[in-house]
Amino acid sequence: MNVTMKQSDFEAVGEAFSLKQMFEQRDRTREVIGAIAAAVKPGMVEEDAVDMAKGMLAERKMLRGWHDVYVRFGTNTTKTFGEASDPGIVLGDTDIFLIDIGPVFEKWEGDGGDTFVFGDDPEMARAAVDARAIFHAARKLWLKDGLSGQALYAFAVEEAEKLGWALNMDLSGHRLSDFPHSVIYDGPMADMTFTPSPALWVLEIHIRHPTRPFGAFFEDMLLDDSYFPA
Amino acid sequence: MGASSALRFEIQVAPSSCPDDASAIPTRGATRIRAQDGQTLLRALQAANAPILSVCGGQASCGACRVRIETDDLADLTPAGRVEGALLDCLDDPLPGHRLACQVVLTPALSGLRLTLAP
Repeated sequence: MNVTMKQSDFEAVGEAFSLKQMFEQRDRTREVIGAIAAAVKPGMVEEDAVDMAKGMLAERKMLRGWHDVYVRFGTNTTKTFGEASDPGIVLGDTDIFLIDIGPVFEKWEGDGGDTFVFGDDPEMARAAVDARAIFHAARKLWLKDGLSGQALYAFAVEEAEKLGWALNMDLSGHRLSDFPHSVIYDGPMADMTFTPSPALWVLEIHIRHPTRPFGAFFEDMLLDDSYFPA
Repeated sequence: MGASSALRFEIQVAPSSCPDDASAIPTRGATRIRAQDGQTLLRALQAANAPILSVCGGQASCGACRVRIETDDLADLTPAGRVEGALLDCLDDPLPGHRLACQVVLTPALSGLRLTLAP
């Protein structure tokens, strides 16, 4: 991190930035995650699911992404961001998968991730629920106490451990903006010593089972409760 | 008006046995870059401090490293693959010479490849 940068530097935006457009892109991102998840079925090969997801993004004019499209099955859900999946993984009848996309619509970045489960494995089901629960617990504490990025992720690590998971700190939050946010700040939110402002950051939670080869992921923009209807 | 010479490049690809040298040599028409056999065009341009952006890390996802290959040199390149082609098709103002620098792997046979960074 550049220590001479101030919060306003880390939270700068580009000329095309528009809160309205960012929220609309958030909606588009959540919608397509749901559509991809609904189309994934046991018996699919992961690579085919990724191709399918890209097709669905292309139909919505969002094939361009600020990062690659990830649909990860089973053991590949433990992989960290950017890591290549093991090839040929087939989704089982009792299995877990995650989606992580960063689609760009025109000039605005989206980012979203979620985890889904088939079958009746209680630990897989709990992983998907807990990734989301840790996200919201951390987000609510940020709202209540104005946690810094550092404190927010320190809390998330503790919360994950309390629930029996290991938090992957390779995925520890980042900026989102008009494309590309990377020219403003490309590092983790977990390094920030100030309270991140709403709608400018993404809170990401990737947990791994302590002994079994699967994980779960949830991410969304850092926003107040009104953006997360019950 | 044509692209500034600062945005025009000619790639010289050394065999893999030669020592690494990513120096950029300005010439009248274009900046000549020495690259290594097997390097992507993106890596070669970045190593020579060319003003090219890569957001997705070479995954053919962001389109930020789109370059325009000189028409006469296009036939020397392996055609764009399915993923690269699909992304190029969805970017604004597509042109026939457009390629993603992250997907072009350089070989000595491509020495002399000419391109422009401006889309």
